[in-house]
Amino acid sequence: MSPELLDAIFFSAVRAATPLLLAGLGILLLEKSGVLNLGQEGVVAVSAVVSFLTQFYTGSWLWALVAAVISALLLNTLFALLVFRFRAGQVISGLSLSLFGVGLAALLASIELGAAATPLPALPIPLLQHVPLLGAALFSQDGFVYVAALSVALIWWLLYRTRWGLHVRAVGDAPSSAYALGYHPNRIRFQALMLCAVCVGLAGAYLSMVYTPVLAEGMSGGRGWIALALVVFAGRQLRYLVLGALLFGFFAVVNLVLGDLGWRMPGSIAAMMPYVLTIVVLLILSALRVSRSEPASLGQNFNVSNR
Amino acid sequence: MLSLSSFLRRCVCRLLVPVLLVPVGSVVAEPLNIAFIHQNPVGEGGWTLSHEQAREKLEAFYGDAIRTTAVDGIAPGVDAERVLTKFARSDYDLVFATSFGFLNPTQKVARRFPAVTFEHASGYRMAKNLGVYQIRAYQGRYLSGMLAGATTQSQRIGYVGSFAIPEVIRGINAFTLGVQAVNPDAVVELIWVNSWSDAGREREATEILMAKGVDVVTHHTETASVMSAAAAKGVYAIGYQTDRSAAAGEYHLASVAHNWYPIYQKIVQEKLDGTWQSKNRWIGVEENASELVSIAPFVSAEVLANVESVRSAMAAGEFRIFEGPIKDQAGEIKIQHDEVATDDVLMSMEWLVQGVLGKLDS
Repeated sequence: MSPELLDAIFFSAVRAATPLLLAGLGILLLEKSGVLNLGQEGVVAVSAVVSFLTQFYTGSWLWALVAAVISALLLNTLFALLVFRFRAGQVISGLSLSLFGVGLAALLASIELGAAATPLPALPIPLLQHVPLLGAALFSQDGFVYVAALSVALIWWLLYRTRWGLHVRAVGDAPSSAYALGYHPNRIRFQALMLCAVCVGLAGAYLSMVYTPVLAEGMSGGRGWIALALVVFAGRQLRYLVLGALLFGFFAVVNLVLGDLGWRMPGSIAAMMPYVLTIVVLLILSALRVSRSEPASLGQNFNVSNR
Repeated sequence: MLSLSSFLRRCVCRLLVPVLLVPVGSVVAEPLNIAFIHQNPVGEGGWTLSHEQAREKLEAFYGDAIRTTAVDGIAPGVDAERVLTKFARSDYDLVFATSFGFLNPTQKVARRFPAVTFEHASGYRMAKNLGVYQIRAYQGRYLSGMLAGATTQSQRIGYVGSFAIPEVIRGINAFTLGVQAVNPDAVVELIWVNSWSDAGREREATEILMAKGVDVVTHHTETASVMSAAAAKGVYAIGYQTDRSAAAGEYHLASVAHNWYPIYQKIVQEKLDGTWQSKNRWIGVEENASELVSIAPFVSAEVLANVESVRSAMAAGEFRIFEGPIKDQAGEIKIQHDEVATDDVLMSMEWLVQGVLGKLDS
């Protein structure tokens, strides 16, 4: 296994992990506020296609990014409407959102199916990119990867070092108490939904701008679901989310070079590996730490009339 | 007021009118209604597009004598069965099921509607009203392998494969034999993506191949992802199924295009003439069904002439790709000296030739 190949594997692993990490960050934040929005697959799908089409027609990556985030915001607002205004169940609303989003994405994709857009160029960091092994993987990536890394710090800071983050976590654990103290759980949850939309919209934009710069059906490739699962298996801990995303990305890429490692297994088993191995690793990790960090009110609507 | 005579008169009239209309009916011929059912969306620019291109040619050639319709994006299984049944019920005379995945639904529906003619692409189960057809794409693959072998400098050529089924394996083997015919030292690095169409994964596989040092790649997948990923890093790419030059620009070496028109034209003509019979049609370069298109301008005249002479020898039946001795990756002789692989051997090929790096599984 040559150094170039090793570099390529780690580079691809980080790149594969990035959309999962971005989406996972948003979902983690949202779940901390007590909202279980299962519709992320739909949001990723739509924002990927919207950002592709925008970049294809305007030639501007910035507009593509903006369009992706706006489409994600709109979809999450739809969810908010269903859950906060019409008091629909969160699980069913999320599932319908994911189905709707995937279908809408396919419909939009049919406009220019197969078109290729220019992918976002890489932004290697001048000196660090030559560091052996890590240089290629971490410092020769495109802008999104760096944004994702910074976002981890940003979300951590938001959740654990700001007042707003405290409110979010309070609303997630004890919305009635928060309400009694004068905070509006649903308003805070809505804010979390919007921030989640920004993150997930970025993940979708990443898919079309860097990962698969060819418009195809199913561009999201189940990544919304994977991100949701990663958040769960990571016990809603940021550090395990990062680890899980990297692991998943790594196993998904290693899948392609199993032959070089001297391993033989049927194609279907190899395809299963990333999912199974990531779950196993994260489960072991969370079993070692006994405490659970599921927000107490996750998935339960908060209504003033029957709090 | 009803009377026997008026009743009789009505009966006679009702019987006469259809009898009189029969000669009129045969002068104004009903167009042949043809339906196409595709699995993948045409926008991917691959297999389905190649069929659609042939369908357009059919319409241009036959004009009012036929009426065609097509649906794409139909998943194999119950969806396909539903669509096929709908076509059969709606007065379609000829239905083309253009994907291997439609095997069972087509067989089922063909049994239920014996008056409708079905043709299944890349299939192998036939019936009185169900024929199968396929292109000897491996012939075009061999020729493209010759081009790849002549172009490579690093002696490593990449191949992004989908699933390890005989059709794909045949293509890999023929390609590798073509490479070795002009460049015995070159090797073919193989990566399986285990999907017909996954643009992101195809791109990843291409990048891994390029990290391994290949300077020419080809693929057996639906999207042009491999082409654009290769071109982005300055690696030459050979397209498959349709002309993929748009995706690779100046790094497009050639494309092995499927030309379904000769098969379709023959089938439709047989239907129109009333001479259609269920057959296993497998045609190749002799009818231009598998052709190299958009060959890069920098390829030397010498290489082109070589490829062309092999092509015409293939078309004339004088050159056989799978003529022994051919060894598999373990060095075992799979096709003996002077032996030519029969169609049955080709249809069930489950081994890779020597010179391919990469296993059948994983």
